[in-house]
Amino acid sequence: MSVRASEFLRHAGEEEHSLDDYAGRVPRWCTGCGDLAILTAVQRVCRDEQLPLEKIVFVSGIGCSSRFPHYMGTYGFHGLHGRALPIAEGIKMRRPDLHVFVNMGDGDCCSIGAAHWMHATRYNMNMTVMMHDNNIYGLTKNQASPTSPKGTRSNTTPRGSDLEAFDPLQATLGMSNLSFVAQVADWIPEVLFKVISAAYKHRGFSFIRILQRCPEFQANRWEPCINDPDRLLMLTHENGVQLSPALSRAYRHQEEHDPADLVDARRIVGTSERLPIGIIYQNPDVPCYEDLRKPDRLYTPELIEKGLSEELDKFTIWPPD
Amino acid sequence: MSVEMQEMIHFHLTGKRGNSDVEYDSHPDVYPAVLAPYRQLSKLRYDFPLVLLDDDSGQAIIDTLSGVINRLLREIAPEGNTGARLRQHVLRLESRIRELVANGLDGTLFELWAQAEKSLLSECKKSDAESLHNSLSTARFALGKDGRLVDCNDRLPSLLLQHAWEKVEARRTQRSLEQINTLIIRLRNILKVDELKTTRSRTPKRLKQTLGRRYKDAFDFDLMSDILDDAAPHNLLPADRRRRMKSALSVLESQKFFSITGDGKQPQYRFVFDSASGALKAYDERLREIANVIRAIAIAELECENAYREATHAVYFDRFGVQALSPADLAMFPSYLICLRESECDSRDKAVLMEIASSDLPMKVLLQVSDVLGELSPPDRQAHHGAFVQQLASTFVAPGNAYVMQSASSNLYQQKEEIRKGLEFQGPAIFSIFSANDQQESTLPAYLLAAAAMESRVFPAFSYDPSAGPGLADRFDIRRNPEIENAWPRRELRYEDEELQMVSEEHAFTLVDFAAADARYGDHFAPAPRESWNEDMLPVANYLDLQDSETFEKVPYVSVIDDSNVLRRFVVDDNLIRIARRCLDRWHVLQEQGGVNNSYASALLSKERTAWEEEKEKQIQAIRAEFAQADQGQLIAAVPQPLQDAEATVVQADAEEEVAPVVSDDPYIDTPSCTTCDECTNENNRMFAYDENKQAFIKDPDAGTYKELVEAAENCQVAIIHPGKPRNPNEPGLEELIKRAEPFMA
Repeated sequence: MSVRASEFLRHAGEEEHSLDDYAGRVPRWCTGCGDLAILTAVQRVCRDEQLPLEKIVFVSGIGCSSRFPHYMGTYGFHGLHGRALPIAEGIKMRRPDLHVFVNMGDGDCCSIGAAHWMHATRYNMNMTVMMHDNNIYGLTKNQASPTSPKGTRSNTTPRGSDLEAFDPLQATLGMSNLSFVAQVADWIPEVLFKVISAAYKHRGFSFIRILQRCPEFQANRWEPCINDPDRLLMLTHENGVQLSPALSRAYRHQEEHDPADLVDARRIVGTSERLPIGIIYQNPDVPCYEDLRKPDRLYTPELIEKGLSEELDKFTIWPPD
Repeated sequence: MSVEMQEMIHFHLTGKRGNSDVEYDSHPDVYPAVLAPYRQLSKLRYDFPLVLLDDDSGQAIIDTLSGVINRLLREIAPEGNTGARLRQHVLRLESRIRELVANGLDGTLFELWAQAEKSLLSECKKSDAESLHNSLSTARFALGKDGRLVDCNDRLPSLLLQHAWEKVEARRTQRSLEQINTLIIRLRNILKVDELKTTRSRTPKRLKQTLGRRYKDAFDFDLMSDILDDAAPHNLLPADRRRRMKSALSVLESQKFFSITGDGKQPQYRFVFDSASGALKAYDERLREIANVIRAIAIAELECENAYREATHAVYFDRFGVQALSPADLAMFPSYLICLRESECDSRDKAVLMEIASSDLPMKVLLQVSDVLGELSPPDRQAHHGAFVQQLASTFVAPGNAYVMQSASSNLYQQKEEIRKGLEFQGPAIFSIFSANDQQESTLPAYLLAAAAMESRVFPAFSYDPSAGPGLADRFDIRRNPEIENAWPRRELRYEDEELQMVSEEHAFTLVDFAAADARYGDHFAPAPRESWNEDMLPVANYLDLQDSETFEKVPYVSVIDDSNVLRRFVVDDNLIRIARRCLDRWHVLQEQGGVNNSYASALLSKERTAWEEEKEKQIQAIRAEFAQADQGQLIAAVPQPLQDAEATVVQADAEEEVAPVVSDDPYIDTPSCTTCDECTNENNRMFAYDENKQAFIKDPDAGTYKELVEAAENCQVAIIHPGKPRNPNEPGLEELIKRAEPFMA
């Protein structure tokens, strides 16, 4: 036997997990909500990778998207509005062995949480981050968000929003230390699953913008794209996503795009008339913050005590003999 | 033939000096001529002394004093006069340190730096003292790591190898130590948390202790204990699990292979031995404990992950023992260093060494050789002690799974990478190192003697690394020797002749040159007077190239320098020539193993060349014969005409295959495109169901009405439900439903 005994035994005693093992409470999202598709895709990834349940944690902010941890049968942290990322980073620093997933809404991520998002991208800690972008504040019942298209009528913009929508992709591609960014649509489950799977396997901060349907407050937002596949541009590559024949027939507009090409990524995101779907950029060589900060020796209680004693001794006033 | 020449031939053949008018001096102190420029070694900058660095980062284990000084000067000495003066001062200090070490002074770089500085300051003029002190202070401040200084002497191999072994082992066992410490911390934490859940931790006395004296009057601890008892968690660890973890923890904390506390107070096994059988015995005795530690680690890892399964694992661990240890398990533990002197090894020791070389044991052996020639055998005996020690390392290569390195102590710095590889190698490693001691009666200092042993092919350097690749070409390396393509390395000898004209000659450095410097072999040489030198006297290397029939009336000689710095020639007897020839044969074998002048490759190349030439010759003959018979007309006709009116071929692309849309009478769902929105399953969960990927499919088309199918199709967010044709012709409202279903039929 060439492997160590404990490695061999760990695999020998493992039980296989089914999809249902990863399910938590029954989801209370609206019927037809895009979050359901995302939930299924994430559960499939966990099942395919056979991730131990006790090693997974979902972290969320506030919003419909942020109900996610409740519906997974794993550890979860339902945090404050916009603060999912610093919590996730803290979890990762303290427990680098855990698989950390983050679920945020568009308001959660691009509005109140924007600063955290920018720096979390830069820190490049190993986690899978999903922004459920339904272009609206849905949980609080219909307020315009940063990604709401210009002219969106909502409770806070009754005459239609005045500003051009914030573009998360263009913003992300300008951030330092970026290592993974993708865009998918919840109504294309095959690509949704493949991209989340690729994002999980990527070692670094994997950011996915998920175009998400909101049947309640944005019922018609994505209808044109759902009904007319020509409005989407499928990005394919041997290092990215490869479509099944059926999907390839349905979505005729495809472009071979190497995710390693940042310049081309910016071109696609900046100029394309169609919504790019797939992995837009990926760089596996960006170092992760938790690796950079890993101490060169184990902090045992003895070492800590020794260090503290040395420091405190500097302030010791020895009594005269 | 002159009388002198006859005498020389007689001496060469018999080894005895006869009665004649030619007077022979007794063997004076002589130096091999080629090494004459290096006589004043202390005045030269060379690799020694070495600095055994106190560097735990693992980047460098050893350095040379000159290397340290060069790096320092590059860093601190600016351009111009200031820099030049500083360089001069520091180089003087370096020279003084070298002298101190050569005179036997022991110490670290910092210590000897201070001593040398003090010594220089005491000798210099008062006007120069301040400048010297400033230069040396500046340099001292910028000096990097400290380390013990070691000269090229008898202690060098064991000091260097032990130092390198400690550094390599520290890095390697650091990983194991970290793993064990991590497990100890985790087990302690789990057990501590479990303890805190027990009633013992909630007694009033214990609660008071936890909060400390400052708050001893702040709380009613009896009441606190009652309240906490009511709210106490009940999910204590099962007793057998707790017992298992405590047992594993106890084994990990009490093992003696690694120092957990790092303060040197924990009892630990030693891994450095001066006897191979002692090391082997210790290893065998500790195997059972290694198995216990590995078992404890495996149990601890499983328990920390809550992955221990009684049904699967208990039986395995009950039976786990020495036999179950894998190489990966054994690689966690320190290797054993055995320092031996070849002169103190008996046949049993050598048999144990061969056993080690044939095994996978983690043993690193230093075999220090002090005398590479020893007593030369009479002409009728092939073997002599020197031949044996010269081939000792090669015998350890034979089993094929040990790392083997042979070198002279002068070359250890150049071979530091090989030393590191051998120490990091997972299996056994044997380092055979020649280091001169007082047994030799040589005029050469220890460093030059070691270097000469390598130069003369008496003790050539090689390394054999089984992990480098599958074949000998990957594993065997002789590149550390000078001029590996040649029989002997050649060096330039420059001297003045009688007319005081500079003469330059190329001389090979052979075994005989090496022996000439050792007074023990004086009887094998006879000095030839200057006036008897003639063309029938050949340098040893040239003599060895002759066929037997060509050696009649020729005598071999070596060039030496005497203590008056005069170049002399010494005739060599046939016994020493035979020993030199056997040394050359062994070198040729080593060359072949190292891929130089490989006879197999040469034979294959020659064979291939011959075959190719024959084939080509046949082709040439065939062409000649063909053209001899052909006439001109045939030749013209044989020339192809240029293409005219070539029609371009147009390749029609295949028409794109059009896939006809599927039109099915039966209802179906495009399942891979389902977004799990629950619309259809909420409509009728007997008709619509989710598969193992939680995507919808038609479970039972007859479990509902056509109306439900059409409504589900209309409500489906991604329009993937295809109702098909009605299955019940009697269902009311079919006409309207069929019309509504039309958009979903394709």
